[in-house]
Amino acid sequence: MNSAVRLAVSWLLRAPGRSLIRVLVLGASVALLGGMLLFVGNSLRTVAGSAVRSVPLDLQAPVSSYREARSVAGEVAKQTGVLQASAVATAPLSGGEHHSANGLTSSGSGAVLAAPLDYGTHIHTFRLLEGALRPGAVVLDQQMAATLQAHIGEPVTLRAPDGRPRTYPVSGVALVTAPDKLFQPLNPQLGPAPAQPPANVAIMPLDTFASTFARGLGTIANASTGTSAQPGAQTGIQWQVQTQLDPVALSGGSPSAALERATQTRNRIERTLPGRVQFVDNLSDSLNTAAGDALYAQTLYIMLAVPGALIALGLAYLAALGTVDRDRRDLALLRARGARRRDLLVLASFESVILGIVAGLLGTAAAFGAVSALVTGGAHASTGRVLLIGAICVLLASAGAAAARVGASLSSLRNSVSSGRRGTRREGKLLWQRLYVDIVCLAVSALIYWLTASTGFSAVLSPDSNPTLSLSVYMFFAPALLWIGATLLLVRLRGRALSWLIKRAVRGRASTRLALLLVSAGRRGAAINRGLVVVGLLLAFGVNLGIFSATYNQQVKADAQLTLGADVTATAPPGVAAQRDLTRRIAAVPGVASATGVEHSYAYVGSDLQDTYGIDAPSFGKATTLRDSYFLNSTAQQVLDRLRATPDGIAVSKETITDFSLKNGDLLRLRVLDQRTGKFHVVPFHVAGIVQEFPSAPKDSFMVANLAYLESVTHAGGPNVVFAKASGYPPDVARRVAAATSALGTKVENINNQSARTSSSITTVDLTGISHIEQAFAIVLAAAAMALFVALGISERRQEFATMAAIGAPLSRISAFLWTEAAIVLAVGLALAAGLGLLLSAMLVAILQHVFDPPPDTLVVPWGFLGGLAGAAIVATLLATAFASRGIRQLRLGEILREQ
Amino acid sequence: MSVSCGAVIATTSLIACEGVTVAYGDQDARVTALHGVDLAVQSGERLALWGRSGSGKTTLLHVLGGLIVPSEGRVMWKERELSSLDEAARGRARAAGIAYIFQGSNLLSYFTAFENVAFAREATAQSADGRNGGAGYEPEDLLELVGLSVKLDALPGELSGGEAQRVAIARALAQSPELLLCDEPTGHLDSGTAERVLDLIEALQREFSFTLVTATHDADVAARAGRVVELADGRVVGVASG
Repeated sequence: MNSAVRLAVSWLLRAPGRSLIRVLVLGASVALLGGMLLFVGNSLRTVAGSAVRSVPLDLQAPVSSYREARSVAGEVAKQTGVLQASAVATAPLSGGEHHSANGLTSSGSGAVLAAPLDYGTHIHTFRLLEGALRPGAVVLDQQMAATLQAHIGEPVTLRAPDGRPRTYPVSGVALVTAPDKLFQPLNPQLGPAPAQPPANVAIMPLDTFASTFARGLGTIANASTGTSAQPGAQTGIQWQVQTQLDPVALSGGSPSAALERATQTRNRIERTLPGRVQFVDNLSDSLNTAAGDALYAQTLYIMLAVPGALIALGLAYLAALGTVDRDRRDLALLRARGARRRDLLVLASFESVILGIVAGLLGTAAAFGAVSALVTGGAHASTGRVLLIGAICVLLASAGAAAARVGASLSSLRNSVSSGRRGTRREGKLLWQRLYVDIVCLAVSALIYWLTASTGFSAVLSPDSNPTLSLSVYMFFAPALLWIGATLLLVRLRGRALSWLIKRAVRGRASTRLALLLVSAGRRGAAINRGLVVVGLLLAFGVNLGIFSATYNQQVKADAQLTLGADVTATAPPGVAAQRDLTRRIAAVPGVASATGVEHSYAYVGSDLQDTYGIDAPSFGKATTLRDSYFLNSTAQQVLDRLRATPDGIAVSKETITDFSLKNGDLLRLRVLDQRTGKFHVVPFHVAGIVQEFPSAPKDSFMVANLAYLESVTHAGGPNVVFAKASGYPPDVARRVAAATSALGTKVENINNQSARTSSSITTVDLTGISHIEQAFAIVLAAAAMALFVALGISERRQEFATMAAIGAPLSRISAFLWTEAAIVLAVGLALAAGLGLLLSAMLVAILQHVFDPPPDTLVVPWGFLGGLAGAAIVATLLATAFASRGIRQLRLGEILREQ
Repeated sequence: MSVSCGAVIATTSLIACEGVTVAYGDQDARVTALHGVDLAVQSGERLALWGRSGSGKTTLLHVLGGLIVPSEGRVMWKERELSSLDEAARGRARAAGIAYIFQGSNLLSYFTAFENVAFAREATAQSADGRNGGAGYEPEDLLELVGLSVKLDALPGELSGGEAQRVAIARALAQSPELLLCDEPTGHLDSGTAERVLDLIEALQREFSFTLVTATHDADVAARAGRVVELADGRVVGVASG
């Protein structure tokens, strides 16, 4: 065995340049896979972390009384892995009243949330817009404060279901961000059952609630099955213990691992307090969905990376082919000395293992380096994981080296050099060729794509009101089968299409320079095809990757922008924006390209209270992005134009159009809250369009009207949020906006932060870093593939070129054969890449239609990257062929011509 | 023993070499293939380089054709020092009149018989001295001359050894050679075929008046030459008239 290892090492060292190329090619292949494994690990942590962070309230346990709530909360807070446990109560509210300067204003029914003063430390179910939670006082939800026209310091009267009024001073205004969780009926047996949010919410300290509002009100125990089926049907006080788990203790693994840890913690707490606490688990619900999304994400990343790595192994095959002649001679010598085929295979195995170890370690190091440098969050991995990735890389590299070596050497073992070079040799068809596996793959791929793109067949398994997604990984069969089918079809063709074309181009016998070049290329169709398969597919991999990544990144941004509203938003307390000319101030901040004010209010369409947005149509489109897909039957610009032309115009949802049988121009009477009187009054509007999505608008029905008209009928204090388009890096612009307006009590958000917390789905993951790695990989390997193809051309034809030189053919005539073949591979490869890459991207984007909200209008073509990819292939071709031409000049003619 | 063969660098010589030594490898593993060989070949002469395997015949042939640059000594081709030219210039010199026939024919495997001849004709056309390749013959004419008019479209793999060698002869003729260098031209052929190939070469020499230098280990083949130069261990050890 030692002698076999020594011999294998000596083989590798005898041709150090070729061995180095094989190591580099194999190293690059496994580096991509290693990098992807690292990235997937990081991504899963990101998805898990995002899922954990996105849950404002992890656990809710119903308890029987105020005393029990405080006692249990104290016990739960001591448990390991618990960040915060608070005694909380919710109760129904019959209504509220406020005596303002305009007289008595009143609000409808709603709910009361009672929480300790330190509640907001780690539990974020509401956000204070102004003021604070103070003993003896109440914080009103933004909508209730607007309805009652109540301001900080003014007294409001709240009516409990028993009809008794309680009066409290207002100590703040808040935005309740998780009403569906806060006011859901709690039944641990049934689990989470998000409730219809109450229209009015009052928040007060728990002690204040217990000593005032709660008196005389009944307490509800666990919600019954029926209660859960009718969200919001709470009739008494729901005492509960709300618990937030420590996200640090949950992070560091996949969503599945986080789910397991969260479940263990919950079970431990419940065991520690037997019979006293049983939780409704909101966190597990979110992590379950995230685990499904994580599987989808893993499949997506594999779909993006694996084809590239496999094609790169094809490159290793090309590199191994470069040593075939030498191997043939060495093997013949060894056979002459009595070596058997088995011995030769053992020798090849040792050589492959040696190459695999070196390339695997190199690839692992490159993967860590690349991920650390280019991926947000770096390459964090435990020692065990590092060793695992290293082992996988070594195994893959060894397997790749062995496959390439055996594949290349088999032909040299079977055939003589001359017969091996003969392009016209007939071979029997392989089983997959006889079964037309390539055609079947392409047909099935096309069928799945057609189902996806044309017939509405959706990857979404549960497209209900739940904002998260569960998707079928089987959809990925379409691009996977396209890859396989296209590759097999190219292998089947073996350059016959090229030969056929050339035969028709060169009519009769070739005797001119061009005709001789073409017939030579035509008869070397199989060799050219071999290069084309690797170069074309690598370029297609790059094109697919580039287009998909660009579309993905744009959609992630669009997703975040739709949720937030614009690159930068500033939310202001009521009245501030108009009084202090906030829009103009923000527009003047350096880095702000444009700004526009938006008023968010509510109006009744029949009995349905809907969010209503008042916008300034001329400036709105400049301050944020409106896509045509947001609107039905009209473009964004057409709807804006109609709003501009119609002062009382309003864009409404499709449901409203259907429910009220409306069309553009129809009169629509809405009940709008008049802030001056505190009463809803009927206001005429005219339909100006159908809107499905709108920046910052909710998923359900909403309306968009002209700001000026809305203000004239609501008498509100002007816009309460300002949208700004950033001409620079949004977080920097947001900082400047915050600095310029913080004195006015604004809350400034930016799109980058929003992207990271939009949801727990795969769009949370920043693909930029891994895309850069894969794009660099595609560029480098496409260039390497062209260089190897040209080098292989010289290696295979060195004796022919030497013969041509011996005849006296000038170098330019000889190298023209290389230039011709390289040009064919490059041109056909680029065309193949454009077609196949575009199709693959379209497939992936079609599959991801439902991941993105809104779906992309068109594919985004990253011309810069694609230009770089094509440029790299062209430059590599020019350089490799130029060097190869110089190599022809340096051929040792005498030596080569003696080789027979 | 070293034997001089003719007046070195005589002005009447078509090609001549003087004191040619060819050595390979470094100091420790230096192999000398030719030791100070002097040789002059007259225009129209039929010369055989005869010797056993490893005697230096092929190396000397390659030196004469400019495929190898001697470590020492010089080679004169038509009164120009071939050995001092760069590869491109030596290539042009070959194109202008030095043709090869190799032991294994060395046909270009992706070309048919016709295209092999056409390529040689096209690639060496308009050579340095302005002579046109093929002496006005078309590829099919040259292949007809060697008796292969029915194999014009055959690929090398579809030809027998003798046929392949005849294509190689036609290809050499396409260069309008003044000097034809043949390296064991019948080495791969059976005796009957070998005889016919040699007859053909000699007939063509008479018709086209080129100078013929044949390297062979076969005494019978050497005996057909007008002059036989015997080589052993890289040295000229004897000269005899055929």
